[in-house]
Formats: sequence, C-alpha cells, structure tokens
Amino acid sequence: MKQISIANLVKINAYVGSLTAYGIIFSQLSALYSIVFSLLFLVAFYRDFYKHFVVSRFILNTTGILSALLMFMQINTNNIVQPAIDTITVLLSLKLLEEKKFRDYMQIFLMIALILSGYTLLSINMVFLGYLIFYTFFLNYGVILLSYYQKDPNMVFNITQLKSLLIKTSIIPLLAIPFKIFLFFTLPRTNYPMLNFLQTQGKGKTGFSDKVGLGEVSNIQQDDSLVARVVMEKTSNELYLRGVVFDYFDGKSWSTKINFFMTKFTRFYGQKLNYIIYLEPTYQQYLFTVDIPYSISQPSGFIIFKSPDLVYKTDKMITSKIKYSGESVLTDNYSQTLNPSMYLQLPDLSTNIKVLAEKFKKDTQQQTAREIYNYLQTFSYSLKNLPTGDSPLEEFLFKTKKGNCEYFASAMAVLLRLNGIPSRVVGGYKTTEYNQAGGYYIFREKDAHVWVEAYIDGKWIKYDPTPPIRDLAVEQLYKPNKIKVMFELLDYYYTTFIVNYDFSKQIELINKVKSGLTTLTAPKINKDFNIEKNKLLYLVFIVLISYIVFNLINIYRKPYEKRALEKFLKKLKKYGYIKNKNEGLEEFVMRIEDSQIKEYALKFVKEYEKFIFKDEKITKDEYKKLISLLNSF
Amino acid sequence: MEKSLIKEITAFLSQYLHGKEKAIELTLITFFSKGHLLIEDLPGLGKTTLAIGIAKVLGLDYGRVQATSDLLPSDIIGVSIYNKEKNQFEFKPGPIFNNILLVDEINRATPKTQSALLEAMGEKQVTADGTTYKLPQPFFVIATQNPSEQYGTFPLPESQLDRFLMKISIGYPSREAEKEVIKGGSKREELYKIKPFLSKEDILKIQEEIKKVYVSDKMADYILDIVWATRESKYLESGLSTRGTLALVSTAKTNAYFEGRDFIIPEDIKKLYKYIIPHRVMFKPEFEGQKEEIVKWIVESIPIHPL
Repeated sequence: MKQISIANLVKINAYVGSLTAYGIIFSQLSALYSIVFSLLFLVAFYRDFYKHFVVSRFILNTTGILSALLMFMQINTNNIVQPAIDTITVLLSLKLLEEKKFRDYMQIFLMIALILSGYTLLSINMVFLGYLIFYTFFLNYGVILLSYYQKDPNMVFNITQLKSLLIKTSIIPLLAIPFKIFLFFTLPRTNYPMLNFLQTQGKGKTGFSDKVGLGEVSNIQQDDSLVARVVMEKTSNELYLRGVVFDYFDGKSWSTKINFFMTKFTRFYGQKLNYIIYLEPTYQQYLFTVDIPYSISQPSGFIIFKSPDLVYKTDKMITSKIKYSGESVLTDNYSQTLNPSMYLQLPDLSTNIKVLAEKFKKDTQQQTAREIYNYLQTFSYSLKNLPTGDSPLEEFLFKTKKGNCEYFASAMAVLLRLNGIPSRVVGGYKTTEYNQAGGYYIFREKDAHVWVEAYIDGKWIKYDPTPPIRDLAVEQLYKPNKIKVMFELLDYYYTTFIVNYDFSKQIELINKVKSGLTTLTAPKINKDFNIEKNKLLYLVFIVLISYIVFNLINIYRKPYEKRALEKFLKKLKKYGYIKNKNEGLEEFVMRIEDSQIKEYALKFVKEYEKFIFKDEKITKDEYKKLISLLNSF
Repeated sequence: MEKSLIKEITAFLSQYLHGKEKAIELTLITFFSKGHLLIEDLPGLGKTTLAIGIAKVLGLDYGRVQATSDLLPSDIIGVSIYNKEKNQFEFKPGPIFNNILLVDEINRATPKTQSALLEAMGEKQVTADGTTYKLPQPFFVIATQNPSEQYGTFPLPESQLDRFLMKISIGYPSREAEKEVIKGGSKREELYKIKPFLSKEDILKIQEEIKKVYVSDKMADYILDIVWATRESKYLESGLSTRGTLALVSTAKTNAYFEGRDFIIPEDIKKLYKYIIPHRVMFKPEFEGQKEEIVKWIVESIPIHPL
C-alpha cells in the first residue's frame, strides 16, 4: 500500500489552500501583486517539491515588512481593503517560501482565512458560499493534520488511514452546521450595514449611466452581470425598467437639466401591477421602476425623492443589495399637465437634419411621430462600428444607418423636437428574460436601453424606435441555458434569503416564534388559531408519522432470516456475549459460559442453521417459532 | 443415527487405542470422504494399531506395506507369474488390492514406487502388463512418514502430498491414556477379534449419502473466501488448488453427516481445515517454521456472515 508522509501532506495542504485563496481573490487583485504572488508561489513550489534550497529568513522578513509599509502608504479612507488584500496575498507567498514549521503552517491557514473574509468586503457573491464551505472542511482537516504533524513529523499514513482521517475530520464541521445555522439566525444584527463603506471601490460598471453620450466608443462590450431582479407576474410584452430621464441634448450627449416642479397633475390609465425589486449595488442613486411607475416603497436606510418625470432617486449611493416594492401601470402613455417648452430644446444642428425632419411633417403630431418611427425601422441595430466623430448623429442618419439604442432614441427625439413635438429620452433597462421557477424578470447590464417619450395632446407617449436585434452573435448572448438559469435561481434565493436577512427580519422571526409558542401553549386552540399554524402542525405531524413509518418499513422490509438473527444477537449481547466477525454461530454459542443460556442458544442456532445453510427462506410461522425459542430463555 | 454411529465406533476403538479419539475420528472422516490419510508421526505411537482397528471395525480387508528404498512398484501392485499348467501369465495381485492399505514410512520408498502408489490412489485402478485392474471399493490408504529421519529418505513433494485428503499426527497419548496402556498392555491381538460394525454395502451407502449433503451459497462463498485468502496471502508462495477446495468441501460434508446434519456449516470447515490446508500450500521459506499459525491466522481472519 502506498505510504504518504505527513510532512508531505501538510505541505500539499498549504499549497492547495494558497492556490485556492489566490483563485478566489484573483479577479480583485492588483496586477502587479498578482504577478509577484504567482512567481513566488512557483519558486516555493519548486523549492518544496523538486530541489530544496534555503532562502534566508532575513530577506523574507525584510521583504514582508517592506510590503507592509507599502500597504500603509497606499491606504486611505476610501481605499482600505484593496491594499490589505494585495499585501496579505504577497505575504502568503513569502510564507510559502520559508522553511515551514508548525506555526508557519498555522500562519498560512490564517492568511487564507483572512483573504476569504477580505473577499466578502470586495464582493458579495454566491461563489463565496462555495468557498466558505470548502474552507470550513479544508482548514479543519488541515489543522487536525497539523496537530498530528506537530506530535510526530515523521508519521506516515497509508491511503486507508488518510481516507478515514478525512471522513472523521469532516464530521466536525458537519456537526457544527446546526450550530452555525442557529448563530446565523440569532446573532444580533445592526440596523446599519457597518462595513459598507469598504465596498465602494473598484466598481465602475458599464451599461447604465446617468449620461447618454454618442460617438464616444465605437464598440460596446456585452456585460452579463446582474442589475436587478423584478419579482412579478409574466407579461406578454418586453418589460421596461425606468431609470433616468434625459431632456437636454448638446449635439453629442444627453443629460438631465430640468428639475423644477411645473407639473400640475399626472394621471394613469391601465392595468395596475405590483412588484418587488431586488437591486444589486449600482453605485448610483437611481432607483429603477417598472415603466410607468405609480409609487414605490422606501428601501430601508434610504430616503427617496420622486421627480415629476417619474424618476426616483435616493439620498445616497446604493452600495449594497437592496429591496423595495412598487406599483406601476403597464401602459404606453399617461396624461400629464405641464408646460412642455423645455422639451423642445435643441443644439445647433446641420441643415441636413433639418431638411430630413421636414420630410416627416404630417397633419397630426401623432402621424408625424409614427412617420419618424417607421423611418428609423429601416435602420439596423449594431454594437460594432458605431458612428463616431464630431457629429455622430448626422453620421448615423446619413452614412452608417447602423447603431445601438442610444442613436435610435437620440435621432427620434431630435427629429421630434425639430417637428415641434416635445420629447425626451428615457434611460433604463429592457428585458424579456423571465425566470419561470423564481417568478421574476432578470435585468443585466447588457439589457441597458434608452427609448423616447413624446408629449402629444397632453400625454407622454412611449416610442421605442430601436429595431429588434438582427445580429446573430448578439442574439446568441441572449439565449439562456438551463444550468445558467438554475444558478441564476440559486443566486436569487441566496440574495433574498441571506443578504436580506437583517435586523428587522430577525425581530420579525423572534416575534413569530413568540406568537407561535404562545398559541401552542394556550389551552384553547380554536378560532384564532389560523390556517398557517394549522399547516405547520400538520407538517410536524406528517414528518413525525413518516419518520415512524420509515423506521417500521426498515424493520419489516428485512427478511425474516435477518430479523431473527438480529434479535438473537441482540439478546445475547444483553447477556454480554458478542459474536466475533470470524465466528460461526455454533462456535459463538459454544463460548457461552452459562450452561443454561448455552443450551437454549444452541437450540436456536441449530434450528436457525437449518434454514440459512440450506438456502431456504424462513416463513412467517417458522419465524414465530424461532422467536418463541428466543423468548424462552 | 449417524452421529451415534461415529461416536460408537470411536468409543469402541478407544478401548484399544487409548487417547486417540481425535485421530480415530479424523481417520473415519477421511475414509468416508473417499480420501486417503497421511499420518506424520514418530514410530511406536500406534499408527498400525489404528489402521488395523479401523479395518476391523469396518469389516474390510487390510494390507500392509513396509516401504524401503528397494521396494518396487510391483511389490505393491502385484506381479504376473507364468503358470505352467495353463501356459499363460497369471496376475498375482499385490497388497494394494485390499480395502485398506497401510503404507508404513512412505518417505523411505523411492520416488518411482511412491508415484506408482499415488497414481493408484488417484485413479483407483492399476495397470499391469497392459491389463487394467479395478481396485476394490471402498479403497483407503493410510500412509505414515517419520518426520525426524532425514537420511536415506525421499520426502514426498508438495504436488504429491496434495493426493492425501488429510495429514494428521497422532502425537503422544495423554498421561492417563498411557497409564491404561501400561496396565492393560498392548491390545493388538484383541483387535483382530473385533466384529465389524458395518458391512461393505452400508459403507458404500453412507458414502453416497454424504455426497448429498447440501452446500449452501453462503458456505460456498465462505470456502472460496478462505481459498482465495490462501492464494493471495503474503506468507504463501502458492495457495490452495481446486483439489484442495474440493477436499475442504468433502470433509466438511462428512463431518456434517456424522453430526446429523444434511447441510454444512462454517464450524465443519473450522474443525478440519488444519488437517487439510497446511500440506497443500507452499510457504515462503522464511515462514516455514510457523505453518500452523499462519494457516490458522488466514482462516480465522475470514469473516462469517450468517446472512
């Protein structure tokens, strides 16, 4: 059998652990530190497993101190975690390079744990849960192995022993799980997220922004990362998520200028709809709403402001996952009384565009808008080779005739304004991706979208001039696969349950348990005992019954031969006789000192052997006889 | 009934062979399993008496060959002699044509003679001058060898030891048993007067019935576990052959029969394996000294699952 020395095992553990930690932190690590770590890691690996050489502790310690100093120089209030993580990673690789003793291995494990916890400050991702579970088992096993190592560094394991050690050590964290769950629910939570300020860095997201600029980039990368989940019923159409409204165009980009209250009143018609939004940290202040929003609830810890163009903003940046509910009306238009002159603002435009705009002039404003819309449908959608230059809009309209939603919306809004129709550009997200199992819409960065609202006859009417995607490659990106959907769902539950479990929920739970207990202990349980609790009681009852039934089935499913033997062995065990594995039944019985028990036992065994060593099944009657034999002594 | 029979025979013979109950029982089991017996022992411990006793009590013919280095195969098998009156060769059968044959100190015979004998034991027939003669039924050989004498002997090779179903040693009798011997003297003479317990037909019938003893699936597995444990053991050069496996089964069957069972149980194997396995397996040279312990260790480490 293959023998593995404990020294090697401990070494392997240190490397596996370090490599995994590096894997976790890789995406967050600064490039320079990442390179330093990989190099030192490889050197250490070579040293430990191929050719041993000594690196002076003095050099290592000095390097360690220097990198720590470097870290303190980089740190400021806005940037604490990144340098710390970088430095710990490098210190880890330095440690690997050292001549490792017990305490060094312990330090390595500690640094791994630090890296893991540091990771949570940079990103709250479900992957963390996976790593956490892995490390709970791995570090536990590692530390136990280390304690063996400290006792005797020359110890040798074979595969079977190692396996049994692995299994036995795995039991410890498994046993701790119920306790951990208990702690998760009961550890007091603060009402205010304490470490949130640490999470603000490194999050320049593409996709949605509070400014629409044309011609700044010629190619747009598709970003698959999640923005929000909207829990609601599935609708037949695409779902629009309203974020920001742009009203000012300077020829190249759109921005928001108007922010005074000139609206008299707003009225909605159509089907009302309730939904809950789980918003990922956006590092912005906009609260997204299902178009067209009627009202939203206040997410805990934030104050919300609603502007007349139906945009919701918070008082501070959204740096963690938040949840709020809303009420919206699914409609293409809504009435609003206002002075629309501000929505006719235009920069200096070339005559070409003005001439083009003239062409669309029809009898009614509605017809004109329809005409513009139809004209833009002849253009094609693209994310590549976007028009750039000084007048990207002109290039789009007359040369390339290709662009993304920003060009279409801008073009339509400008053409509308040239025709005297007040209009604005709305920025947000648009999706059809619905998770059937979870019952929610998924919005990703790549779903970022802009569309147009035109003010005609006292109503804001929605126009989305962007034609459907005809690009196969882009379309491919939109196709979800089953595994992705499943993970997406898992992540959703992770978010809704773990991330949203806060102090208020904790109080809620305590109250629930309290009220549940009082009703249960109350002597009269009748009318005010509501259905929920009844269901719970049923559930407990069912679980109890199925447990009993399961056990009974387990006993009765066994053949009579086995049952009889088990009873016999159990009985003799009571008298203090246990059959050895290598003993035959008669041999076992002969060992019995008490002659009376021996006599009875022998009688049973002789009867019993008649069946099992003749390959005969024991019938129910015969079984009963055997049992009565057993009971006689 | 059968149980009482073997007990009866054993008890009866014990009167003449003090303290040899175990040897008598093992000899009977070998006999009824249609095997042959090798007794390895010092001279003067009652091997011959045992053979005579068994022969007499079973009512069978008895022959004896004292092996020496000049013993020829024809001395055992028989020889053709020219008959002047009939003007033809006539076969004079040798001692092998008895139901029970005692070959004393078989390791003194030359390999040539040994193999002629062993061949006859295996085939249950002999060929002389081109004619094949069937040996009588039942046929049972008890061979003895003296382990202490090495000079001028031809020890049986392992491949031929395999032909003996069991290899036993009688050992010194207990103090009480020997006391009886001192007081009563040798009872060899009285042995010749014993009336047989069984007829030849009875014996053949019993041997047939033993064949019918049931071997369950579990027992077959248990036996194979043991066999494979010897084959895979690190102490052994080579493990049990299939003939060895069959030896385990047939002796277990006989033992079960005499215990009054028509099926075998693990204890049957456990009782007899130490007379069946050691002379059939080859030990690595460094373990030659602990044959019994190793075999015991191998067998006793096989778990028994009654289910």
